[in-house]
Amino acid sequence: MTIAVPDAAARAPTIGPEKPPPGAGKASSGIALLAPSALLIVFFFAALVWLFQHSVEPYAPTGQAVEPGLTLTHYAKALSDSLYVQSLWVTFKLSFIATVFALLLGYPLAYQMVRTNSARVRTFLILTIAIPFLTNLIVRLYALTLVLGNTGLINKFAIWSGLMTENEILPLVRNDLGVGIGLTYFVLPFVVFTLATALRRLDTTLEEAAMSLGANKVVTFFKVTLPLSMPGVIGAATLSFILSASAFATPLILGEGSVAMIANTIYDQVLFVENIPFGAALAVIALVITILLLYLQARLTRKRYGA
Amino acid sequence: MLRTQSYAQRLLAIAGGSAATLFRWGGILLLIGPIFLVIWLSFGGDEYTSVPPTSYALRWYENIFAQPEFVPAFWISLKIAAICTPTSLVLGTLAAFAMHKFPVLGGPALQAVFYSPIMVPLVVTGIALLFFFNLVGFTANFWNVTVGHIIITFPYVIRTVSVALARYDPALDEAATSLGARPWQVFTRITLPVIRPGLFAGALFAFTMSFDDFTVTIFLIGTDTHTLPVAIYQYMEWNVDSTVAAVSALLVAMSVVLMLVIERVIGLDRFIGVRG
Repeated sequence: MTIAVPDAAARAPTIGPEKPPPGAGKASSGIALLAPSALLIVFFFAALVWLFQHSVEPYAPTGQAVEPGLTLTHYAKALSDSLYVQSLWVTFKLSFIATVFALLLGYPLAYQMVRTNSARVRTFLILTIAIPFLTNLIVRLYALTLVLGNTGLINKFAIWSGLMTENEILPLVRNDLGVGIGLTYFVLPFVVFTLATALRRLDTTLEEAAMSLGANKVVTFFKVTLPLSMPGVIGAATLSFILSASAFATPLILGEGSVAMIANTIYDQVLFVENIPFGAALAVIALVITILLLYLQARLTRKRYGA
Repeated sequence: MLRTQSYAQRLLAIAGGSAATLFRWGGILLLIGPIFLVIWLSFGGDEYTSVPPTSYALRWYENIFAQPEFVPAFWISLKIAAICTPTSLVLGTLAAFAMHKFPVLGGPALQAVFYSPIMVPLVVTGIALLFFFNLVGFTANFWNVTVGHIIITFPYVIRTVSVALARYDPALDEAATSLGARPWQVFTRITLPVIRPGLFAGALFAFTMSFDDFTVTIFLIGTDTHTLPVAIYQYMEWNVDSTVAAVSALLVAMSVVLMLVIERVIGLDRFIGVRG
């Protein structure tokens, strides 16, 4: 690293006790640095406030003036009408399933990525995570439909191998199963990322101690490694659940209109049904659930693990 | 030590090991299997995408350029990402510096506020911005999408730069200052090169998130302009040929190039988080 050596003229005035230490400038200059992004954040929050305002507005069909007044009818409708309760339930169910499977598949992957002694194995695993992570989600979902679709790889293979006749179809898209697989596929790189970071920080001497005291690999894993990596698991699970629960493209492409998760219902209400206040109320509900989950994660992690 | 274990324990160890291997390979297959499949099928010559292809040709690659939507959509996506990336990088870096140098500004409450666009579901951000742009009378879709992308990407820059700054040794600043460097010299000659990995990771997040975004974009984009992900989605809605497979293969090639750049600049293992 090269350090600039200024000429003597420039150096002279900087020497002296009145010179403040580096970085200890006035808070006002800090605010100046923060101002541009603060402006964007203010814009963002104003948009959220405006969204909330829409959600308590009475509904008026397009072209008609909105009556003044506040109403909670949209929230009541979202939480009582079976169509929307169903959408919320499907969102919750599929996000939960995807989170469980992403953890099951992701943990062994992250574990080997961090612990392997082979540079080649590590490089291979890093590539399997990095390629999907850097590849466009729409492209990845399209690729998955080629695997799961009615004329896709799995169906063709089942016919070719004689497990199914030509006329049979194994339905793996346009249903909950397809969207569940799609969500797992979507969140898996994020889960591996989070778990790998947590596992890397873990102190391996405790595992060595357990092994030297006679515990086998499985016992060591369940009694030492897993409990120690729990904050990472909770973090990965929260991230996975939130990403799945707000997924829009995955149910759109793998559900092909047959599976409406909450994000798709919001989109349809706003852009097709044009019931803006109702769409806004659904969005506020999604936002509140997200904040609650993040709060729970923070509390759980701090209370039990002091992290 | 193995001798002291019962058969049950050894059986358990073998079962646990096999389950882990099974899940791991399941994960690997799920992650990269579809990507290999799409590359293979992109070279198919059939009228409709079929598994396996009955003939091979480059016709779908040619069709990308024959179709009116893909090339302009690619340029629009690239333009938006090219505006979004440096803007987010500058905004995020300035904010990270403010939080780092002035602890008053870096408290957990303020951090939560600045990271909030990461936490808010993209569909909520999309709809909220759509309504708000209407309210304030912003009708230029291109710029609305760009602003939307900046809002969802700059918090990632704050995060990556903050991580780099947390590891930054303030003694470097003092050393440079005592040798007579001016504050801006300290910043450009010392601080920036040291935190370069954080800047690079932040820029990369901003670029890929902007280039790939579908959810926020679809709310803000009009009917006149389409970004590449939106164009791909619309094409696959109405067509069953392999053009999208060819576009996909090219985009996978692009991410491989991006990966090589990451490997050169900061190392993939550090980017993924396997190494500190």
